[in-house]
Amino acid sequence: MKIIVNDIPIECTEGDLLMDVLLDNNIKIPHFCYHQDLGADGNCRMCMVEIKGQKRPQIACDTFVTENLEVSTISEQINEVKRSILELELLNHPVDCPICDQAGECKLQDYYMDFGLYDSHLSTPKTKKGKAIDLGCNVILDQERCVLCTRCIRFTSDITKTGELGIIGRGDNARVAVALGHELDNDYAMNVVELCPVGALTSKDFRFKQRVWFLDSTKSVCHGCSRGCNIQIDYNETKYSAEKVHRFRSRRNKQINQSFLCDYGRLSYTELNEEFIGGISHVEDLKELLKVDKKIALVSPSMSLQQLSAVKEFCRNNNIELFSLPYIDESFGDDWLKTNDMSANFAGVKELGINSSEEEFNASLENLHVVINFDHKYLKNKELKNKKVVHFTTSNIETNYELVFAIANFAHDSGTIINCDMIKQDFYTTKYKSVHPRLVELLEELK
Amino acid sequence: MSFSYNIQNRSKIELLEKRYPDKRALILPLLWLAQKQESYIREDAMQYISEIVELPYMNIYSVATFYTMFRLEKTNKRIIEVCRTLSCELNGSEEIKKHLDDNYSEDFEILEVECMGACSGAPMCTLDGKYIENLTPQMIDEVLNAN
Ligand code: SF4
Ligand code: SF4
Ligand code: FES
Ligand code: FES
Repeated sequence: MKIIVNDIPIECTEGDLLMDVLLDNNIKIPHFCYHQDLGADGNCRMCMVEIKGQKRPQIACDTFVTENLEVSTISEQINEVKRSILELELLNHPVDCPICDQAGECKLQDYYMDFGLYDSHLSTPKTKKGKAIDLGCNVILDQERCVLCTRCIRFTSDITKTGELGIIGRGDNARVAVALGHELDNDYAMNVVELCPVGALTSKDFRFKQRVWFLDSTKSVCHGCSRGCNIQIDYNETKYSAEKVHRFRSRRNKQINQSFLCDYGRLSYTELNEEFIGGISHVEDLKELLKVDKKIALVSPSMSLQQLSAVKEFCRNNNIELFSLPYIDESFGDDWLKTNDMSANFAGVKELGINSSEEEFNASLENLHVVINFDHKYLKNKELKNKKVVHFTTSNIETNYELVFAIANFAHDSGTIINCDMIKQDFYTTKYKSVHPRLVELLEELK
Repeated sequence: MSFSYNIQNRSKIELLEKRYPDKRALILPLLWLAQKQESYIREDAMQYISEIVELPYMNIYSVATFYTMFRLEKTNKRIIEVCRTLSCELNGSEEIKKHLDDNYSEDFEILEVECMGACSGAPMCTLDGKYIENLTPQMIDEVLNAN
């Protein structure tokens, strides 16, 4: 069936939520409280549309489509309605955008530019509320900037079921808060920062570090555990700073992580800024070493299928016994996103038939003298006596090894990984190049 | 000592529980009884209520802060609640409030509240929970000095 939006017919299914139809078709529909993964609450009234045959404007987040429904999101009258609602939302807002970390990705700002542009009618002083309140878990609250959409509250009550957040007071004085003596305290807390459509909730980890309009963004997949949550890597290259990746944001994937990330995964971006610094060995030396008879290699189960295949081929050509062991942490997983397998692509290791028996690995390790480590954490800072160790590493290592080759990490290399539910996913490289070669290129050189 | 309801209130709660199949609906009467019992709502009372209704503490706290009639702080003073809603306002509650504030705020906690359903006796206030109606400043002086 179809409906007609701003005179253009749109295909949809009977019973779909009008809001979803508009969003899925990229039709501009301002909204604060509705979120595709939190559902409707109907409290902000920002999503008003005109529907033919209805006397008053309706909210799109509570309207289900019917055959030939005629909707307008852009008429003169409906813009006037939106303008007034926005004015009400902004009545007590401090309008401190220049010092607000959300500026540039703030819905309030966007909608003001689209529909607002009025002069304030307020003649009494604005209601003052709490500023820069540390809620715990890296989340900072500015109560004055809040539009009381309750997204953050619904996240803690409906999704994590921890219920730390709520609204206290009423009317002008209503504000989001944690109860006295309580803190935001769950493994997914930082999602509220991303859910907040305005600058009321900001991340202690990210705030004031970058203006968002200076950031580039790349589609990627979190490598923190085998869930493979979809992310955006936000990064830029500044002249005097080694730090390039500034944050991970969630990227919506209905099958995997909806719009959410765990805090551990979200903060794991820092690893991407810790590339290897120091002396790098000569390829010729490695070639020399490869002439030895007994060799063993261990490859990280977080490497992409492309990297694993290249390593596998390299090992076959050079007569090296290859293993990969998963990163298991029994205390990490939970009944939602986090899994005990903290490697990004162990399913890929299995698919390529790489030996993952710990017993066999340890037995072989005893007997063999040349050990090649392809960025596996298990061997990273391990002392191996009487052995010649070669490291291919994405990060800094402390111990002194025979040979070290730095390689680009997953922000600088594209590839494919398979998650715990056997979903194959591609991730992409950021715009700037690493100073280090990609593993596949390096192995090519060794042929 | 951590909060618990006294025996009278416990039996009241038992009756109420039957009346509200949805536990959430018990929040208001439970808060009300907690305040009646201790003169204000203690933090551990809200904690206790959250266990009874099986909802996070924040939900209880949120409700308690929404209604102006709930007091979350202990006061050693006696409490006067002055109605500020329409009927009382039209009949001079502003003057009553000012008279109270000017003369009695040292010894009494003077609060503004919404309509208490005694509009026929507007303007009105309560003292220790008892209604005093058809107020005039003189009458306030009489009552408060006599009490
Ligand atoms: S803090 Fe943000 S997400 Fe939470 S209610 Fe306010 S505006 Fe909405
Ligand atoms: S659940 Fe796993 S994949 Fe998802 S964000 Fe956390 S660490 Fe990353
Ligand atoms: S988005 Fe529809 S009312 Fe808020
Ligand atoms: S208006 Fe004061 S009691 Fe009703």
